[in-house]
Parts: sequence; structure tokens; C-alpha cells
Amino acid sequence: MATTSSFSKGCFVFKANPQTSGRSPRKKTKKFSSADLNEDLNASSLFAKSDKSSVAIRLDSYRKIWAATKKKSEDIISDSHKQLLHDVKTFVSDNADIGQSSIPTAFISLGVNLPDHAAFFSLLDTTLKTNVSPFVAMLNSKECPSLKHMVLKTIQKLTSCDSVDDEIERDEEEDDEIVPIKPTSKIKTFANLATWYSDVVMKTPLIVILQDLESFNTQQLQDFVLLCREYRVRSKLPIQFIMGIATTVALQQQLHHRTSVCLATKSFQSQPSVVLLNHLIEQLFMKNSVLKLGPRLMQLLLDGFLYHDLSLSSFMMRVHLIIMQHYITLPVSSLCCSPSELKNRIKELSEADLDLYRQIPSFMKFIEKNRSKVSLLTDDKEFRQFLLKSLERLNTYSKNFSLSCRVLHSLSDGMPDALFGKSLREVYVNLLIGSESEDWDQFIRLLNVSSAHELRNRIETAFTMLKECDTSNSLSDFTTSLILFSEELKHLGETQKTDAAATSPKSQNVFVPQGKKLDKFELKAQLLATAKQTRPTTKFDEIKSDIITWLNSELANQLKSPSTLVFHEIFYAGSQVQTSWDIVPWIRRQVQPVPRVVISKALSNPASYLGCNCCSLTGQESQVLSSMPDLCIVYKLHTECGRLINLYDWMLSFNAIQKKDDEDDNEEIEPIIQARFIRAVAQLQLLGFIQSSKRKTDHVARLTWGV
Amino acid sequence: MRDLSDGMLIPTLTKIPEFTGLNICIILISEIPFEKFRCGTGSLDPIHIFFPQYSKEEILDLLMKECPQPEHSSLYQTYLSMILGVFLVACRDFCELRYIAAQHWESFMEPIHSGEIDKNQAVKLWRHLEPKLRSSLNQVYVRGPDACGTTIGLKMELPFFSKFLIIAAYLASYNPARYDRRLFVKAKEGRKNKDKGLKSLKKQKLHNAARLMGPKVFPIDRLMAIFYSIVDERVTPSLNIFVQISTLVSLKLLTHTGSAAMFQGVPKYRCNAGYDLVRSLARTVNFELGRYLYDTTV
Repeated sequence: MATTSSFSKGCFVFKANPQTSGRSPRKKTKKFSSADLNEDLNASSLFAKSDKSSVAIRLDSYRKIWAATKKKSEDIISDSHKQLLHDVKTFVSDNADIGQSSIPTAFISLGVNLPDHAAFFSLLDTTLKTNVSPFVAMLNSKECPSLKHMVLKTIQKLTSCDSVDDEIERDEEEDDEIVPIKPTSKIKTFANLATWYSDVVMKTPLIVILQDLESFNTQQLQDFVLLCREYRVRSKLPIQFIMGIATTVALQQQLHHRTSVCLATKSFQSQPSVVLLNHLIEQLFMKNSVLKLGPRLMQLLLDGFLYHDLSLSSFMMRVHLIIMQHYITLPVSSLCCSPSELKNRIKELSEADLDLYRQIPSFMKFIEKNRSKVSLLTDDKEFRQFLLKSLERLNTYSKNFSLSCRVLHSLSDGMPDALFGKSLREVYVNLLIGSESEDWDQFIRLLNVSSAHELRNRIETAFTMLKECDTSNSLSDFTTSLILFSEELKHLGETQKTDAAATSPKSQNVFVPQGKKLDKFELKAQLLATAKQTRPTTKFDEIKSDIITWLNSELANQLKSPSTLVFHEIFYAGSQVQTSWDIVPWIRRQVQPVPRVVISKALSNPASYLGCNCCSLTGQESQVLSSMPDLCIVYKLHTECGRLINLYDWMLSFNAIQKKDDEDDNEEIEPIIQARFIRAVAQLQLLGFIQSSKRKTDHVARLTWGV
Repeated sequence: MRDLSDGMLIPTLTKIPEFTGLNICIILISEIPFEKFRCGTGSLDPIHIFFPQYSKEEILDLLMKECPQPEHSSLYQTYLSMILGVFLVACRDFCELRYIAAQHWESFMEPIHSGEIDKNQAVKLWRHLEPKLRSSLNQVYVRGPDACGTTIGLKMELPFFSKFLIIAAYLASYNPARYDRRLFVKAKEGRKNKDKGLKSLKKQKLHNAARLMGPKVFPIDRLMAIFYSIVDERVTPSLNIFVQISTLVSLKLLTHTGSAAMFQGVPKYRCNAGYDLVRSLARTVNFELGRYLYDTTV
């Protein structure tokens, strides 16, 4: 069972379904559940399943880390919306006055990452309710299949916020009294709403939020807008719209001229989600975080984001999945904790635990290289010390690594071809994967030809950046050398001005042909000669070579890929480890479900799911065995057919397979076989592989080709 | 009213006096000529009274009544004549003109408030205002986010594969299916059928303006086939791709056609994105759209 993947996993992308069959239903539920309590319960039950030592510790650190990560990411996301929320809020309160014939409308373009919008709108809802007006109706297109529903929902939501307040107050006053019939139930039309509003004490605007403008029916939307406008003008209902749009492309189709003249619009735009992603990665994985992502998982996450959905919420879901899976699957993850706890935890490790740590590939490699340290394999005390030392080194390393990435980014920023990547995130990911030596060479070459001024600018930006980020002074030698270089360059700039007068005439003389006319060959020879002459090394050249040697030794040393360090597997999720610990294939299956492949694998090789011996395939995939389920046999037979399949022929071959063992060549097909065949065909149709064809009777059409 | 009438409403209305024998006068107000309403027999033609178009002076007078700052009324009049001078060529809709006038008033008053230009220097004011008016002349009747000066325009942020999906959908919508093989089979075959193809194409010059004919419907298989052939990388046919298709549908960049019921045949789509959008998308992913478009390849 260990190798199978869930049959139904692909079908539940956005919804939790506790009834999913397969290997680990709880894990899946876990991925989607939102309630914290639920999550915690799930997590503990999951951890309990992995019956290895140190479960409690691992569960504890998982909880801590996930809570920290979640909080950080939520903060980042809500921070990013702050400006937008503020703008919208001021727009709404500025336009609160009645009298305009058109409805004030805010268009908020939020980009195509639809799943993320919900978070923004809930924030917007609370902000508006607390700051501007309690009357906010948030609608999405799913709630409003028709105009009637739309109006009802709007009115219900607008009035309910008021009555809820009332109820709470009432409840506080007299708990036992029977709550009278809500006044809201009577309000069913805009006319009613107008009378209701005239009684309301607070004359704050009525805000209608349409979350996904694109998905509303055009005609319905138009009617709704006209209706609202009518009541805004006649009955002085201060209705305002806030419309969320994903793209501006369909807007002209969605709002006709007749509708749009009723709206006084203003547009707002959220930050592009790629910017947010960069920020998120910088904050989550480049700053003192305990668990980092290995190159393979980082690539997987970025692919998912950039190529598929641009959605931050699903990005965070995947991160969650990875963090959890890292702690569940990796028995050595008990040491993946904050540096302060490290010492105690190592002390608490049992002998069996220590053996687990000795199995880590990077440690084995280390031992192979350093035969002298073989005693580590047997001596527990020594090993504990070694473990502590290497893990501490790893911690400082990863801190320095991300700082060095920043240095490199500010040094290489603006170079042609965007050597290590345009943004910090790209630089980080590129270096994490393993620095490409070509890029590094090119980088050194470009630095070599840059002018003193440029070089100084680069170094100074790197230096200021370092000062901003580095609070602990862990890279003090870095800073000092950077200061040194910039000082030297500055000094050089001053001296060069005085030198310039003296050197320039001389250097000009070299290239100017003297007096007489040279023929082509002579000129060439002379030019070659001058080129060969080594130019006198200036002070600048010296400094430059100093800088480059420093870069090649110090910075390059800091920028080694983490996979070169001992025990990096503990802190970098998804590093190369032995297969039983490797979480990458599992994660990949979860974040990139391939339902088609899974279904056809299940149908062509049922033994992999059923785990039975009777229908295990000995040879090729196309083998058909009578012991297989009917559906599989029918599926396999149909893959051999063309576009149109004759049902009778199909049934004959089905019959032939079922009868393989019996000798008698009876042409008659048993009714029971026929029934089983028909049932299997119906199932195949339900799975979407075939379809009844109108072109030929007794034929069905195939709908799929290949895998 | 035309939709409501069901063919009988207008004839009935016009005959009310006849039916009732009373002196009832029916007044119908319409923006389109009565010929458009005429349907069936038995209806009496009403007496037409044409409401004349507002003249420039009349519009000016009407707009003057809504002067936002009464103390600047003479200035407002100058301003209005500027506005009308530019926009009257394109638009005679009073409501629209009122909107335009309100829209630009602020920017007109800006240099006066800041003291840059004296309010009596009409020529200078005109020079200040004219470029803004000219640029918004293209956006008369357009009231979107674009109209407010912030041009989001065609800039769109889409996942990498979604871009390719839209391009593929566009190609599927605007190329006839039988040319798919010629366009998408990779260059290995060369162009041996070129001459033959040219001849047959010349025969059907009608097809030349496929773009003008509007998008055609295509099944999902064709979309995926084109998608895989134009994306250079190997793409896992994961669920994420199909989710993107449905996202594009909800963004109204694709339209789902065909029966909505499950298991009723292959889902069919139509591309909603325009040529400009697709071209700009193709440019961002370095895809040569022209090479694969049936119109432009020949």
C-alpha cells in the first residue's frame, strides 16, 4: 500500500472531503481545514500515526513553527492590503453625501488569483463595518443566480447587521424574553428598505460589495444597478458600490453604457501578487526561520505559483503541507528547532535516536571523506558534541547565506542579463539550487570592467543594505571589508582627479600614430604591440583585484549551496535523503494531482491498488487477466479500439476473456456476463472514457487518447 | 418595448381609442424611428412629432444651469464653450456632455486656484486644457476604471500557463480546424505542400478575414492539443491546468458553450479575448503569434 497514491485525490482541490478513500484521508482533510482546533486535533492524530520516537517533540516544534509561519504570512498579507483598504475606506466615506445622480463606485482590481480575494474582502468588510458604516452587504455571484435573489440577499444583509446589533443589545438587557420576529423578514423590496432606512438613526451609507464582478450575469447586473440608482435618486438611499474585478478586459462587456453612466467610478489596484510572493519568501525563509525549503521543494512551489495559479493562499497551503510532512516523515526532525532549545534536545536524545542521525546521508558522506572521525560512529558522547557543533554552524551558515545573497544581489543589481535574477527572491533561489559557475564568472568579469565610480556605488548600496538587515553583527568581517573597499575607492576618486592631468596626455600619445602615414600592416603591427604592452597598473586596478579576490574567497564561500554541509537535511525540507524519508514525491503528488494518470494506472494495473496477488501483472501493461475487475477488463479492451467501438464485438471479447479457462466454445453469451459487461460499460461512461455515439447505432465513441 | 410587445402590445395601444370609444390620447416616447416597432398588421401609425436635436446654444444654456460655482459663472461659460467645441463633434448626448463637463472642471480650475494663470486669459486656459480634452475624446461613452485617467489597459498579470492557454484558445477559435496540422506539426515536415496550400487558399479568399468573423467554438481536446504543441516545456497534465481553464472561464476570457450537463459530450469553449490582448500576452512569453495564425501565415 505504501506505493499507491490516492485514487480520488485529484478530485478535491478546493474542498475538504473527509470521505476520500486511499492512503491518508486525514492528511488531506488537514490540508484544507481552516478551523484551528480541528487542525490541531488532526495534526496530533497524524503524528500519532508515525509510530516513531520523539513524536511529541516533533509535534511540539511543528506547532510552534507553523504558528509562527502562519502569523508572519498573515501579517505580511494584511500589511500589503493596508494601503488599499485605507484608500477604499476614504473613498467610501468621502462620497457619503447624497445628491449625486450617479452611484459612487469603487473598482478594485485584484488580479487573477481568485482564491486570494476572499481574504481581502473579509478584511474590507470588517474595516468598513467598524469605520464607516454597519450597513455592508457582501455579495458573490454564487449567491445570486437571479435578480430576485440578488435584491433579497442585498436587503437581507444590509438590514441584518442592524438587527444583529439590536439583538445583542436586547440579549444583554433581558436574557429570558422571547425574541420578537425580526423586522428583517418583512423587508423584501427596495421600497421597504427605503422606509426602513428612514427609521434608522445612523445615516451612514449602504455599501454593496460585489466580490466577483466578472461572474455576474450581465443583464442581471445591469438591472440591479439601474434599480439601485433609481432608489438612490428617488428615495435618497445612499447606496454605494464596491466591485472587485480580476481583469479589466471583460469590463466593457459586463457593464453596458447604460449601466456605466449611472456609476461614478474610481479604480483601485492591489499590489501584483508576484511582489507579495517575493516579500513573503524573503520574510519567511531568509530571516532566522528554523525550517527552510530545500531547492527541489522551492522550485516546486515556485512553479506552482508562477506557472499555475499566482495564488498566495494556495502557496501558503503548500508551505503548510511541507512543514507538516517534514516533521511527520523525518525522524531526525526533532532537532529542527530554534537554536536556544538545541542543546537540551541533543542531551535528551536516546541511543536509538543517535543512530538515526548517523544515517543521514550528508553525515555518511562526511565520514567517508574524513576517515579519522570514524570514532563518531561509536562514541555517543563525541557524536553529541559533534552534532551540536555542526548544527550551530549550520544555523550561522544559513543566516550568513541569506545575508550574502542580499550582498550579491545589491552588487549584481542592474547588470546586463540579470545574472543571478532580477529580484532578491530569484537570487536566493538560484543560489539555493547551487550557484551556476558561469554566472559567477560572468559576474566577476563584469565587475572587472566596471568603472571606479560604479564599483563604489555598488559596494555602498551593499553596505547600507547590510547595515539595515544585520542586527546581530554576525557578518562583521563582511561589513568591515566592505567599508574598507568603499573608503579606498573614495580615496582613489579624490587622488585620481589630481592624477588625471598628469596621466592623460601620456596615454593619448600611445595611440596616436606619429606624423607619418602608416600603411595597413604597419598600423596593425603597431596596434598589436601597444595592446601587448601591459598597461601600468593603477591604484584602482589594485583595489579592484583586491575586491575580486575577496569576493572569490569570502563571499563565494558563504554562498555555497546548503547541500554541502553536514546535517543540512534537518533544516532544509526536501533535501536528498534516503527514500523512506523523502517527502518530495509525496508533496509533488499532492500539489500537482494528475487524476487522469492515476485513473488509468488504476484501471490498467488494479493490483497496485487492490494489493491482491491474483491480478498482479507479470509482464507488459496490456496484459488482460480474467481475475481483474470487470471495469479494468473493459477498459483494457477499449484501449485497443479505434474511435468508434462496436458494442457487440466488445462484448464478445469480454466474454472470451471471461471464458478463457473453460474449454467449450459456446457461442451463447450468458446473461450474467452480459449484465456484467453492460454495467462495466456504464461505469466507463461515468468515468468519461466513452460516450454513446449518434453516428452509428450499437457503437460508442472513445473520448480519450493515450495517457 | 419591442421585446415586451409580443407583437400585440403596440397595435393594442394604438387602437385603445377605437376600442373604448373615448377620447384617449396615447403618447409614446421613443428614441428610434417608429418603423422599428412596426410588426404585423392592424396597427395604426401614430402621428409623429419629432423632438428636435438640441442646438449648441441650447445645450450651453442647459449646462449653465448646473454651474458648480455660481460665483464663476462667466468663467464656466468659457469653459463650457471649450468643452463643447471639442466634444460636440463626437457626442450630442446631453447626459454624457454633462458628465464630461463635471469631469474636467476640476482640472480646468486647477491653474486658476494655484495662481498660475489669470482667469481672464482664455487662450492660456485653453492651451492648458486642450491636451486633456483631446486625450479623453477617445473615451467618450466609456466609463470604466480606464476613464479616470489610470490606464490599467491591457496590462494583465496571469500565470505562465494561463497565458499559453489563452493563446491556444485564440488560435483554436480563429484558425479553421483543418489547418491545425499544417500550422502546428513541427517544422520537420518542411513546407512541401506549400504550393498546393497556396492554391487552395486563394480559392477561399472569403476566409481571409477570419478575425472579422468572430471566434468559433472548439472542443477541449483541440485546445489541449494546441496548448501542448505551443508550450516548449514538458507540462504535466495535472489538475492545475484544468483548474486554470475554469478560472479563465470565470474571468470571461473563455466562454463555455455546449450543454452544461455532465457526461454530455466533450466540453466546448470559445475564446473571448481580443487580438490585441492575445498579441500582448504572446509578446510577454516570446511567442510568435503571427506564425501560427492562419490569416497571417499566407
